[in-house]
Amino acid sequence: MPACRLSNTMTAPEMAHFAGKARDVQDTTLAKPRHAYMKTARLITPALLAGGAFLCAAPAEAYIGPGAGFALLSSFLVLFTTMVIAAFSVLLWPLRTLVRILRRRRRPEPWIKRLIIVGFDGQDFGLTNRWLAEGKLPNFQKLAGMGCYHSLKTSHPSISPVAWSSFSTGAHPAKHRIFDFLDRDRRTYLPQLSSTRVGKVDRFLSLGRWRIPLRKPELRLLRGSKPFWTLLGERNVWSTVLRVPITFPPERFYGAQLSAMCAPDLLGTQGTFLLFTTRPAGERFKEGGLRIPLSRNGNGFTATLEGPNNLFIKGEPPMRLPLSIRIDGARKRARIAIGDVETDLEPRRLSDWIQLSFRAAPLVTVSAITRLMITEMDEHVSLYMSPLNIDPEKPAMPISHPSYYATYLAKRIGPYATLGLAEDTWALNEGVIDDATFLRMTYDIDLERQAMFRAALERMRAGTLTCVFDATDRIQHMFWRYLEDGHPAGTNRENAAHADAIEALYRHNDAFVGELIGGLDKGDVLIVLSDHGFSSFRRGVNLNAWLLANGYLALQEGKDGSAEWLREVDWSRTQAYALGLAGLYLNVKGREASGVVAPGEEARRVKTELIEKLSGLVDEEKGAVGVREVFDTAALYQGPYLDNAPDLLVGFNAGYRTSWDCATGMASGPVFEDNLKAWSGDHTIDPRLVPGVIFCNVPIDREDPALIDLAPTALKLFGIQPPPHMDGKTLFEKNPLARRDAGGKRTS
Amino acid sequence: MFNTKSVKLDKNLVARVKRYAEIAGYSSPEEFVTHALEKELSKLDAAATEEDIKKTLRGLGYIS
Amino acid sequence: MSHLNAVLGAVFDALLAPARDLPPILSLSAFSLATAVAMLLVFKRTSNQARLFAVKRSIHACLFEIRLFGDDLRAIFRAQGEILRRNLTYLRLSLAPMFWMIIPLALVFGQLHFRYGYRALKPGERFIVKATLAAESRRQTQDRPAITLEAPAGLRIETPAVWIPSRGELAWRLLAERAGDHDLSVVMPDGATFRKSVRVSERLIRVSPRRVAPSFTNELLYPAERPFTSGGGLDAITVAYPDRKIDVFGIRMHWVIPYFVLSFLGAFALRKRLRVTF
Repeated sequence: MPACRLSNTMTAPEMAHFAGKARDVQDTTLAKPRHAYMKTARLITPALLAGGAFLCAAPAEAYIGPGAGFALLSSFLVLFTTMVIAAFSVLLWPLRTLVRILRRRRRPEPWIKRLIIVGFDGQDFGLTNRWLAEGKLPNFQKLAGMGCYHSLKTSHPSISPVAWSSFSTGAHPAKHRIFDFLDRDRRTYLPQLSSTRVGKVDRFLSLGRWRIPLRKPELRLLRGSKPFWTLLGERNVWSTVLRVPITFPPERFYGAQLSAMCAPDLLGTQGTFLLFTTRPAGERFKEGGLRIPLSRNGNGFTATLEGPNNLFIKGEPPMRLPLSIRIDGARKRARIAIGDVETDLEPRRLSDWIQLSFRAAPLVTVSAITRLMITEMDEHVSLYMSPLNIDPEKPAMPISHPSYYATYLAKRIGPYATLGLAEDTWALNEGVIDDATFLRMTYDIDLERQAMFRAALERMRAGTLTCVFDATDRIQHMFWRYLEDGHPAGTNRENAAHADAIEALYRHNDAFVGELIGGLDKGDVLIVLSDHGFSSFRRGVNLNAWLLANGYLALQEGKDGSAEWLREVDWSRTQAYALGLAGLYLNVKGREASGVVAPGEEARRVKTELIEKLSGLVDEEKGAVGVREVFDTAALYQGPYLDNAPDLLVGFNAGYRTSWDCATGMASGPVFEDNLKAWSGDHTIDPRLVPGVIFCNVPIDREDPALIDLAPTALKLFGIQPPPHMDGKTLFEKNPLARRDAGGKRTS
Repeated sequence: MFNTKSVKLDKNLVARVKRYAEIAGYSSPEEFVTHALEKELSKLDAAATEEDIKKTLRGLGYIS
Repeated sequence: MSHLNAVLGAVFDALLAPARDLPPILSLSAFSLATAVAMLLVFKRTSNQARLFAVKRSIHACLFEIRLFGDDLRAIFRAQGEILRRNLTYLRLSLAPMFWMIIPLALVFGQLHFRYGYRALKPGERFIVKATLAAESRRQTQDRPAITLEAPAGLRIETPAVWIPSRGELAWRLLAERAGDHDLSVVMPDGATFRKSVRVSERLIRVSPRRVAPSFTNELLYPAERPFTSGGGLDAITVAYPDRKIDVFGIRMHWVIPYFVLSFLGAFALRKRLRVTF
């Protein structure tokens, strides 16, 4: 191989020529890539500096990869974005302020800076009195000492959706249209949810098997009138409204709101728990839950979780996720896989929130959160799944105003229950979960609520904050059986570990009130209240059975009335029927589809008859009065929605309530029967028997405060005259803070 | 309400609507108009099926 | 170190073998995605995922707050302040995984740079070869040292050496005549010989622009060719391979750009699947 050998000698011109060339070449060919290389390295120098000793050895070449690169990049991005947003907000602020000032109709002169209303749903006046007297509620006592403590007249009927609607609008039900959980469809006599209308999507773009909804389904809040926060917002007073019932779907106003009672689960129901089980399919749950068989698969079990219906596919089949359970007998644990989510569960221990994603279409997922519990894993295996809550972080339906508020709260405090009636009372009724699990679930939800309340309170400098805590209601419903002797559902009371659940909860709330008092500022008014009280639910009254026995309701030939939703009723011979919890409807000609009672004189006559016969109705078996009084709704209040109301409201005696069968529209069976469910306390009775409570850190000017007075009071405290359509009266005639401060000076 | 659209009405009618809304106890003329229209439309709308209703109400603690 | 480089070089050569004749962007994309996956896994293992998750959530919450309380300047600044604080926490939490990632990435980066950063010479192309004297030889004399360059068949030395005393460098211009892997020899006055590979090819292959004397730093920076076995005399032999520009949809750019962008996008796209928070 001829090797070319080059000597070290070169002529001067050659040298000059080549030296220049070499420089050129060096500049362009060698130096540049080195330079580019170095430049890249310099870009990442900040990261390299962090690398310490290793980097000192290799300062130039290290390249921080995606992970750490992202760490830097995203944090710079966040900083940059916030700077931009902040700059934007600051620049926009004068403009927004100007707009607000211009839009302000009359400048209100607020008496106070912040109004904080905390609602403990169902806190009972009688129980509160008892435990105050026993010194078990020191912080409630302290609050009463600071201002006032009083019983609070509830709504008629005394049910949460009605009561809280009257609370927020300051109006009687005839003006806000919520008379019960249920309303009836006059065309079919079928019940419907009174507060929300959920429509269906009727226009699609079809693409073979797929279809694209061209319109959002109608979703409307049916509560009429205007809540006080809307009116305050019209005058630029900010309100945060957390979980006040009958706020789904959320309304737009100046403030933020998280929906509550009657917000559905992802399946569109009011809360359907699921039980995956190997137990043979016996009787399915009568109410509330669904039983899904688990099939054995090798050393594990499998089933399919059916989620919400998929609007993107013709026929709207449910979206499905595979579910599998593997039992590790040695470790006494079960491995649950649902879709691509896996979790390890200890038997009889409720999991934390688990996020599930149902895939509807490419790039479209519907997200849910749920809690799981292996209820047994010996001979049989059963897995309890709590109702599929709408994931607050990615809500599939509007559950807050502004729409991102639910997401914001989830980012701030973590996942939280979004279902209206989130505490799974039915699972406890059916014995799927036990007392302890129900309490754990209820307390966890309560703590979530406290966390969101704190987050809101810390950030609110002026305006109103209203938050409703549901635990009082749910725990009294489910644990009343331990509170008194001889409750039909109170078997095994002596051995119950949670016999004092109600008292424990009142004390828990008392501690929270202590925290509230400690955090009060000078310009704050704090009101702690409940929408109604509580009573025992020992005996169910089937009003439809009574109507049948007394000739006001007739059945179709050969039927016994045991079908749900009044399906076996012969409407052509029926004058009155009961639906829901509150009362009776007349079958009025021209109003109901097959009405037979002529409006006017005849209707009045039937009403009077029913009032006379039912008032004082005696439960012969127990020798007690079951119905104290029946009220003619039209005589109780007037308003544009009176037509939607039951014609008669039934005031049950303490210990009685509409029976379970009657509420679902059955007419068979006895008129009076024992209530054997864990759901053992209730409040849908004569409202005079179940007043709520009100505590305030300043004295109020009224002797007979009512729930309906709160809305006008909130307006008044912010210098706004309540509008004439409100039925409630303000609780303060004068500025309570000015009076307190003056009083304070005197005593000091 | 989230999605609203304006409808033009005769001025005299609007005046009457306002007057009546106040007397009847509505919180606004809009609420009155909405309610009046809803009542009419409900006669035309298809009723929900029993299956749908049962599903919607499932889990409502007080009832079923 | 040189063993590690040899192993890595062989691995990357093997990985690239099927893609030698394809457009470089294809194999580079594959490397980017592989980097993304590997780094996500490293990040997941070496970071406090739970805390990172929590910190990110708070930052998001603050962003929502700025929007929610747009009318309240104080609330805006409060949220800003919190973002700043959380960001610092976030950076602090990122330090450990960053440190863990730098080591493997430095190695990978070197391997890729000598494949995608330069291209091999083409037949008929002229290029410069330089021999850099070791510092001690430079100190001994300012005169041109009697060093000769020997080229194998396929390479032709076109000019005599140019002596640049200030840098202690000798430079030659050569012509690549034929495709293939060639070995140049630089013969020192004492007869010691230093070899340097020169690759002439149209394919996407590893090239080594610089062969260096053994040291940890040198080996980290120039992993493409084993260092000289015997020390003394020469610091390095440099072959001026041309830059390679990567063609991305008709736009030619430095390889780092698509690598960086693609590995970023890949990591973003895959982070949920691999359940990594960053």
